[in-house]
This record gives sequence, structure tokens and C-alpha cells, in this order.
Amino acid sequence: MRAGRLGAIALALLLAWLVGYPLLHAVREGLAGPGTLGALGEWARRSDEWRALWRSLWISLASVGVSAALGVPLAVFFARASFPGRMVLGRLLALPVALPPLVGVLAFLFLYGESGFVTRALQSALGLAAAPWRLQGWGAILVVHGYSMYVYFFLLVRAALSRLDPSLEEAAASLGAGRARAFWRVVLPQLRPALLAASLLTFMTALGSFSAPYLFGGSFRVMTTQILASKLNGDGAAAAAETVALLGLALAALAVVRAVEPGVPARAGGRGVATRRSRVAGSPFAATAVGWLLAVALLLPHLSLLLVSLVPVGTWTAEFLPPVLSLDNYRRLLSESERLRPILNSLWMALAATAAALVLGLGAALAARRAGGWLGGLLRALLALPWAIPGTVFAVALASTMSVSAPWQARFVLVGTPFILPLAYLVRSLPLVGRSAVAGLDQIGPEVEEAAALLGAGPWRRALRVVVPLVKPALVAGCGIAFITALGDFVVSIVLYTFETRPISVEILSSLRLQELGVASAYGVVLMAASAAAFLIWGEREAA
Amino acid sequence: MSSAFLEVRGLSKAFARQAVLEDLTLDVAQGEIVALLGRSGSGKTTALRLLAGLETPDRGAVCVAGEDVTRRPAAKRGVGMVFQSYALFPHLTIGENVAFGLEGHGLPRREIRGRAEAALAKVRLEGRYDGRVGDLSGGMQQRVAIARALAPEPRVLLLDEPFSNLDPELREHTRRELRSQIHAIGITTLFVTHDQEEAFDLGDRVALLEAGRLEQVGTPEDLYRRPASAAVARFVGRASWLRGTVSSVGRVLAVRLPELDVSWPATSPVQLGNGQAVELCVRPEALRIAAAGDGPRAIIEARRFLGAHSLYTARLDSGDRLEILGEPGLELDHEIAVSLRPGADLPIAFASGAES
Repeated sequence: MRAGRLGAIALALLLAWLVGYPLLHAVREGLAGPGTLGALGEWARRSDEWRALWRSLWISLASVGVSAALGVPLAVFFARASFPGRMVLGRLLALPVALPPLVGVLAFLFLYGESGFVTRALQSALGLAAAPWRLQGWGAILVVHGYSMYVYFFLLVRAALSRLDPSLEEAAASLGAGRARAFWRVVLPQLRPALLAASLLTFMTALGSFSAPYLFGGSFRVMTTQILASKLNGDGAAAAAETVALLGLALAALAVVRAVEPGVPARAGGRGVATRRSRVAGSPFAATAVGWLLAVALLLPHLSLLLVSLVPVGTWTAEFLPPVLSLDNYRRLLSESERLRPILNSLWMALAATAAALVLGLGAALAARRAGGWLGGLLRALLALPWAIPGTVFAVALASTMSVSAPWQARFVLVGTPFILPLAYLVRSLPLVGRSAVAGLDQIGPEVEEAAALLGAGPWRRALRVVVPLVKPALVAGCGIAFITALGDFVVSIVLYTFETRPISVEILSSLRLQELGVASAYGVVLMAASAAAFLIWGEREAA
Repeated sequence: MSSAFLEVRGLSKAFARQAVLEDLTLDVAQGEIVALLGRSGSGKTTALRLLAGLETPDRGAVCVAGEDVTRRPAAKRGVGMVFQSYALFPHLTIGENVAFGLEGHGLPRREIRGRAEAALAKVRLEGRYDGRVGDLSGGMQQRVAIARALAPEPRVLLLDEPFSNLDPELREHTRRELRSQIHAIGITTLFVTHDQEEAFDLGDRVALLEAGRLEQVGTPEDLYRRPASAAVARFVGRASWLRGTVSSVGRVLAVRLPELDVSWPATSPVQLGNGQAVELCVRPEALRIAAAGDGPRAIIEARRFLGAHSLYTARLDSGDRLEILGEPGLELDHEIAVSLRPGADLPIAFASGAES
């Protein structure tokens, strides 16, 4: 008992060092320097900084709107309509959330960019001299955000709808409410927690989004791109202040939503009960056609990425469709050791981070369950915290904390070593694995462990024979999502990578800069295939 | 009682300074089945969990076979328990569930499996070793839970509301089966229930708990015919209650009932004084319907047909109501007279105000 409590305290300290310490250090740096608030005070006097903060805020809010507008109708359609292929399509529709953001951005570039398939097709069809649009600025960012983030609304609202007791609507109908009134007065209020949870998820993801603003933003700077620009310019003080500002915005958003709905973002999902699926008004063919059209539209970017990856470098210039297709790019990825290296890097770093997150996350979740009280609450909070921290913020905080050797302050030089990226991935994975473990453990009633104790099983045997096997499905799913997130990470990697440890995403960027579009796409397809496989195997349930 | 196999001495437990169980003392003989009967919140489940070692008592002791096990953790207490939800391990097969308690003692695998299979056979689930727990019906799951609890051959068996998750038509049969199984093994058993029929049917003795206190332990007949307190008399069986004063004391009391304008003989579990205000507990079968004029007048207000008898509710002139067991066939609003049935148990007097 006493040993268990000591272990729980040790775990809490380790987590606090990993998760909380860099942030505290970043805040201290942001407040350092001349003036009352130091660098932050200086930051607050610059109008371009306020503009970036404002843009981050409204782009995130607009992303919530766009995602809801796409995701909620889709969820209603898929929860209520019955047509062939509904299950398969449902899974395909959830897919974008599992794809690395950079891959999505790349795919959009090849489809709707200035020389993208759709753009060129329109240009030649209309006989225009230039491309009909430029994939740039806030519009482009919003399109990409909506495309990947509608999934939160789709998954959460669909799950909530499937849990909804159908007799509620029947009762409303028996009381004289028409379909519209029943939906407005009965169904929608029940969906409130799911809508809020999806809004929060979308807002936080959009606030931390980096790939889309970085590649499409141009002069339209949001906080994440602003932070990186300051850092690359060597302006550490400005970067620190910006980091604190973005952190503050993220935590404020979280606080607002929690004040409105205390349960959020605790899982709004869960197991559904049986639902009756009515045939939608109109023919089932219409539903089928709509469903499949949507799927094609949503998969088109990835198909174009696949196509470009088959184009050998330098063979495609003016034609509408590439004249030569081969596996040349993939062969180069595998045979040239400098091109293979990023793949191996990403693989080992993601694996190491996921394994460490599994040990830490499961350990902390078990310790929190056993300890209870304030210690249990602290462990759970530390596990969940990185979720609310934009990746850029954490990466910059980690970079400044771990670039100094001061062991008495628990600071070590990790920047520039092979350890920094796996460590950063680990922290980013903790909430994914930790939440699965905590949620899985919460499902196990105390009497199951009590029964095992009465049958003579001590604490270790109870954990290994009863508790861990029962949370295994949830853990596998959490680890799967954590692994693909680390594998495709761009936002943290771009701040912390070294040439030796460069991951796939960074290599995609440099291939793009070298105009090796085919190679960049081939990397993208590798990431996409690995992520999709992991996602479809481990299920979409844990993604949201 | 030196023959007690399970001795509970002054067991007390409070949660958040709220006493849940106070000073429970109880002896259970080897092989005896005792029911812990009470409403929800009476402390019966807490008592069971304290016996199992799932909670630590604030005060008191638990001894099994003369050995103090109060501080021994659940895993080492040698107590088997069947949970209300059964708490079967969903990731293990039926047989693996039963074998769970046999592992970790250095027994060879083959022996463990053999013993688990034997335990399954005892609950008529032979050949289901490799089946999935989730595929079983509620009744079968309960049998697996019992087999699992009994397989390690515990010294005491505890059951928490063992029948509450079964269909009503299955309960009586399951009760009989469990009773004969427990008696065949001869294991000392305590079970918790809120259902007196269940307690009376399965328990050799019944311990009635009310608000964390033990009110009475005894055979079902003791509890019904010789309740130790008004609380027991109210909880067990049907009764009508009348206010009166003791008008003479002795082996049999006389109680004056001003509202009925009669004196009735009565017994009491405690000594009562002359002139003391009492509440009189009258069982429906202790009353009879007499010809008009032969006792206090009443009007039949409601009736329930029970087969050989009918249960009538009669309203006295005073407005008090009495439940009377009688021959079927009397009409509503019929005027009757009420008197004590000769040869039946006498009404029982309890000092008023002792219990509200």
C-alpha cells in the first residue's frame, strides 16, 4: 500500500517534469526581460502580434463553423439513413482525422493548387490564361481545416444519435410534435454535449494547426506560424512571449467550454444501443448515390496524391495527366539510404514514443485508480494536459528548457540529440494513451477486482490477469492513434529536428522545396497508407 | 455460543462520519445459512463487505474457526463471495473464471482444470469450460459465479442479493437448488437480501438489520411470532397497529383499547408496567370476523382474494383500520364485528414512543 503510494508520487513527479515543467519554464521566459511583464509586455505593444492572435482566434472559430456545417448533416444522414455500403462509407468518412495534417495539405495542393488537377481542368475547360483561383490565405486554411476536422462532428454526433433512445422522438410525435419540432426540441438538446465536445476538439485542433497555415498561409500569419518565424529569426524573447500568449488562449478556451459544460472534454462517445434506421424520404438510390459521391469527393485529394507519387521526377510538365507512371519514386525511397533514413527515423521514434507512452500512461492510469483522491486527480490531469497545449507551444517550450545543462534545475541538453524528438512525441502521445487507459479502467466496476481479490489474487496478479486484459482493446486503439500521430508529426518536428533525426514530414517539406513532387508524394503515400491501415485496424472509435 | 464457526464481535463502520453499521454481533454455526435482511441503507451490504475483508471495520472483530481474521486482506481470508452483478471476468472463459481462485497455489494445470470442471459439474454446467461468459443466461451466470466462489473451498460463503438479477419465476427454483447445494457441502453461509420471502426460504436463521443496527436474530418463525421490537414486527409480515394502555400485568397482559372500547390480552418481549401507553401489533390471522354485536363494530372497506382465505380491510368507528384474514365471500360495506381468534397467537404490545 505504502509502496504503491510512493510509486504513484514518483510517477506524478516524472509526468510533471515531462509535461508541466517546460511550460512553466516557457512562461517564466515569456515574463523575463525589461519592463513589468518582460517580453510579454513588449509583445503586447506590437499590433502585428495582436493581429496574429486575432487571426488564430477567428480562424479557429470559423473552422468550428465549417466543420459543423459539414459534419452534423453527415452524422444525421449516416445515423438515420439506411443504404448499401453505409458501414464502409462511415469508416472512410472518419479517415481524414487519422491522416497526418501535412499529407492532407499536400494532397490539397496537388488537387486544387495552382497546377492541381482540378485547377488545370477548369482552366483549360474555360480557356483561362491563369488559374481560376490561388490556394492561398485564410480561405485555403479554412478549406483544409473543414476537410479534416468535420470528422470530430461526424463521429461524436453520430455516436450521440445512435445512443439516443428512439422512443423519445416517438413520444414527441405522440404529443403532436412534427419532425422538425421533435428534432429541435427533443433531439438537439440531447446532442448538446456531443456538439460542445466536437466544437472544443475542433477549436483546439485548429488553434494548434500548423501545416495548413505554414504551407498555404503566405503572409497570413497565425500564432503557430508566427512563433516558428520568430524562432527561426533567432528572436527567442518574441518566440517565448508568443508561446505564452497562444498557451493562454488555448487554456482560456478550455476554461470557457468547461464552465459551460463541466463534463467536456471527458468522453462524449461510448457504446451505442440499438437504433432503428428509417429509410430516408426519397429513394434508397438517392441516398446511396449521395453517400458514394461524398466518399469520392473526400477521397479525391488522396487519390491525386497517389497519382503524383507515381510520376517520375522531371517527366511531367504541361500535360493535363502525367504521361509516365512508374514505381520509380518508391524505389528511390527504399534504395537510396539518405531517402530511406527519414522513414526509419520516423518509425523508430514513433515506436519508442508509443511504447514509453504506453508504460507511462497505463502506469499513471492504474496508479490514479488505486490512489484516488488528490493524487489520482493530479495524475489524470497531468495525463490529459498535453491535449490542451498546441504542439508549437510545447515544442518551443521544450526546446528552450532542454537546451541548457542545469541538472540541479532538472534541465539537460537534449536539443540536437536523438532523444528530443521521441521525448516530444511521447508527451504528445500521453493524452491519447492515457485517456484510453483511464476510460478503459473506468468501465471496470470495482467488484471485478474485488472478486479477484477474494479468489486470492494479490495486487500484481489482479492487475496483470484481470485489469490489463480488460483495458487492452481500449489501449490498443489509443496506442494505434498515438503511433500514427507521432509517425506523421510535423508541428513538433519542424521545431526540434536535427538533420540526423529528420522525420518523414520534414523530408516531405524539403522534397517539395526541391520540386521533387513525386518523391514528396511517395513519402506522403507511405505515411497515408501506414496511418490508414493502423486506423482501420484499430477502429475510429478512439480517434475523437 | 462456543459452537460458533463465524463470530462477529461489535463490528462497526462509518462512512464520512455517518455510522453505517453499529456494533454488529452475530454467531453463525458451521454449515448454517444466515440471511442478513434489511431495507436498502440498513447496513447489510456493508456488513457483508466487512466480513469479506473488502472494507476495514472501525471497531470490532471477525473470527473464523476461532481465528481472528479482522486485519487479514480479502485475498488471504479464505472467504468466497458471489456478487450481486456476479462480477464474472468477461475476458476469461467460463472454466477459466472458475479456475481463477485455484491458480497461484502451485497446483499442476491438469489438476486445476479437473477441479474447475468438477465445480462446473456441481452447478450442472459440465462441458461448458471453454464457453464464453457473455453467452450464458442470467441464471447460468449466477451458477458460474457460485462455482467460482466455491472452487477454492472457502471456509465461509457470502452472497450479495444472489437472486435479484434473476427472473421472478426462476428465483424460487434457484433458491431451493442453492439451499440443497450449500447443505450438501456444509459450508457456513451468509447472504444479504431485502426480500423477506427469500430470507425465510433460504435462511436457517435470519438477522434483521435496521438503520445499521441488528434488531433480532432468529428463525423465521421467531421473527414473525416473537418479534423483539416494533421495528421487526413492522418489517416482517402484515400487521395492524392499535393504541392502548396496559391495564393489568402478569404472564399475559391486558391492554385497554379506548377506541374499540375493549380490553384484549397481549404478550410483550419486554417488561411493561401498569398504565403504560403501548402500541399493539395484531396479525391478520389473529383476528376473526364475528356476528354483529359480538365485539367492536367495523365496515369492510377493501378485500383481497387469496384463495382459501380473503384478506379484508375493515374500518373501525374510530377510523382505525384492521386487516383480517377470513372466509371469502363477504361484500364491501358489509357491517361486521371484530374479535380475537381463539387459539391464535396473542397480539404483541410494544411501549409506544420507543420506535416511531
